[in-house]
Amino acid sequence: MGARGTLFFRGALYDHPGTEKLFLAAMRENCAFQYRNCPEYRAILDRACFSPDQLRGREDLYRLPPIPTLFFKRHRLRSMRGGLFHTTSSGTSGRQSRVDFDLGALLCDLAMSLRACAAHGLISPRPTRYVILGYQPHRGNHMGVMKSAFLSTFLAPAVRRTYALTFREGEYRLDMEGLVAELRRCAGQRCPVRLIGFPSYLHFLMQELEHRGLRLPMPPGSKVLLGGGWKQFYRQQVDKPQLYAEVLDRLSIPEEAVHEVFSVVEHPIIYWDCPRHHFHVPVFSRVVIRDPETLEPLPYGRPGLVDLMTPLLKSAPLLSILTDDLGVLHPGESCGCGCGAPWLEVLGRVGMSEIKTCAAGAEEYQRGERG
Amino acid sequence: MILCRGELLARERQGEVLERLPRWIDETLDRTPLTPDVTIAACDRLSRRAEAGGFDAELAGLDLDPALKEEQVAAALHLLRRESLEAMVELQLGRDPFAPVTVRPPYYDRPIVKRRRPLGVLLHIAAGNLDALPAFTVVEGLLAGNINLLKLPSADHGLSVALLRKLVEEEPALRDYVYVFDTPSDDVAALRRLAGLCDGVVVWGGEAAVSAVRALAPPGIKLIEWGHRLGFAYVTQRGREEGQLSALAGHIMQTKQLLCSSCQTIFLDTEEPEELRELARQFLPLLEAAARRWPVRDMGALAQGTLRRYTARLEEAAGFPTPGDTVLEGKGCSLTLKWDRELELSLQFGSPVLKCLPRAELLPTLRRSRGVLQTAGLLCAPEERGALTETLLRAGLVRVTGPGELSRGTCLDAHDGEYPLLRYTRITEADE
Repeated sequence: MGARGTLFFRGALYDHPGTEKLFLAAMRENCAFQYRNCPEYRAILDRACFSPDQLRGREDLYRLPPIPTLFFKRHRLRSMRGGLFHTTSSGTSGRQSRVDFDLGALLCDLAMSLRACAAHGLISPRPTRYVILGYQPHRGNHMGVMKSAFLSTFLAPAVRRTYALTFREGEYRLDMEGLVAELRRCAGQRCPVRLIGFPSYLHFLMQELEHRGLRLPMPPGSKVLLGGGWKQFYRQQVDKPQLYAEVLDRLSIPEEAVHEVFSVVEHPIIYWDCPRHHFHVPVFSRVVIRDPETLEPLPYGRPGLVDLMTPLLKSAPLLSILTDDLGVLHPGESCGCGCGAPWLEVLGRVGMSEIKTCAAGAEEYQRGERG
Repeated sequence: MILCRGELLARERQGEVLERLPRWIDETLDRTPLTPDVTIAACDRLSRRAEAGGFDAELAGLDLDPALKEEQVAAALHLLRRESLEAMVELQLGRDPFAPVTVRPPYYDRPIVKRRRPLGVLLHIAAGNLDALPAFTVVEGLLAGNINLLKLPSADHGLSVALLRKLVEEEPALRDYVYVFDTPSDDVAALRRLAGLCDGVVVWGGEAAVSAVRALAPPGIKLIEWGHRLGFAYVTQRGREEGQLSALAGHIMQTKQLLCSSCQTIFLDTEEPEELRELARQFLPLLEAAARRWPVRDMGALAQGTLRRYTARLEEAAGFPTPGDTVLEGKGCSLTLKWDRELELSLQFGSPVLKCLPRAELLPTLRRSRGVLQTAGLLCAPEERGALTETLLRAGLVRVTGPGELSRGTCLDAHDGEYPLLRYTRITEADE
């Protein structure tokens, strides 16, 4: 087993000091692989006068040139032919990235997910009814969000899966009636229920129950698993404490049973929230915040561009990606939940918020991307 | 916040307002139309009040560039003064714009009464790239006598609502003509209801906004789109002197290349790549100086600029997308030299594109970009200006200026070559 396998299959989930060497070794392995197999990546490293064997200490991780997600949205870089499995981003900004999983990555991903799910008490032999507040699987849909939601319905045996967005007549439609009917059936039964999906949909659902004057206590052991695209986490469309209160009020599911995760297509490591709802960085990745002007690494507490590193994927040089998000990294101790790993707070996307400037709009017209 | 008939309401009351809005609109339309002098008098009073410090709290919250603040605020207030607005209405609609005119068409036996009237109800979907723009577009709508529904951009910092609220306080007769909503762009249902009440939808800039409006406006409604333009500079050999280039650099850093009129591409009148490189070497220190004087201050914008430039650098290293592009990195800015001749959007935030474009190819090249032409800045010798201006205007440009004035605004400007007040009104005809 290489360093990557060891990192993903063994060790504590949040022990950064104890996995430092292993992480570096896995990054070095991956970097050397990318360097050999991806000519474009090699050219980038050569230009930066960086060679994979220079990855010896933490400082070297910072020196490794990060590749912007913007780059992956424009160009497809590959270090392997094909993949077993691929996911795409939801294409919020108009362009999608596609990420292929090699067999090793898929196994590591599985190990990581199972270990994290076990740690959060999600693996259970009890038959469970799933209410998925997201997309029904469909052949043409490769969104990472949908795949992870679907996969998570195997953590406990599924009695039934109900979807908020059902695929009918060639398009996805929100089936509110179906959801409410399923929740009515679930209430009072013995089988626990798991609601999985976008926070905004859960909020809509809770509002709908309130509107109809319904309180449907879910059976003991029921859980809520929230997740979705990264954008869900900073747009703050849904006020989290309010959402927890709604879930407790309408479904009698306590806050401890509400878990939240996030991930990014180009960096498919799952970040779980702690009891204080902070996202600590698991050992499978390292996060560095970079100065918005110089891209130099910043210390804890300073806002800047979020650079995410993981040796998980071999299919493309995704070992250090520079997202178009601004964030702050906080020291683990500042959370107070007892987890020593640093935690990441995402502040928002770069740019001038919704102001897509008129000049930028013009070019899209010119290129004929717009009707 | 919602501004409804002079009152500020919480966003939660949007549903209630939308419910009652159709009846309020009908009642207002059934009255004698609003005349420009009412709006002009109110704006003039508002402008004077602001000059005396009446908006300092709102302006302080705007995070305006201190280097530009005084000048920008003064320019905005001048636009609201009586002499500006009167000149604007007279230029665009003529004297006494809503007076009836009786015409007697040849070969027709009866007189017809023609009269300019407001379009009726306008929905303004404003962009956030200019701070007071949402309020200005409503003022234009008012000058043309319309009822105005404004959807604020999400980037609005409260200035527009504050301005419009003070305006209707100055002149209560305007109360029923101004409604402001902070509906987010993804609340399609609400926007559709608003659009359903309108005679015209005025959309500024934003790509998301325009496509949303196209999708939600009922057929038959007049769509008035402003924006979607690319500005550029044209430099002749004799225009390559420090003063003009410095002014251009100043323009680029002051607007951060975010406006329709901002310079994106700099064309040099030459066929020789070496001459373009020479221009770049001459221009970069001037652009750096401008970047020091007017730095990108917003962190999100700064990060976006850095990210775009960094991506471009990696693309170049990796051999994408056009090998041969040359990137010159400056502090807080960059120049990209490209060898094709098309007008294009730059990376913005102080990163123009430089290209060769010999004078003889000026018109045919620009014609290929005709849908996005608006403003050009000319850097040339005085005796070249006349002929070049004429060529640019023939190619489809609507404004040719000096290097520092690409984004200037005066009360007598047309928008993209048209007078907005003409588009916000209609001509009615009735038998005498």
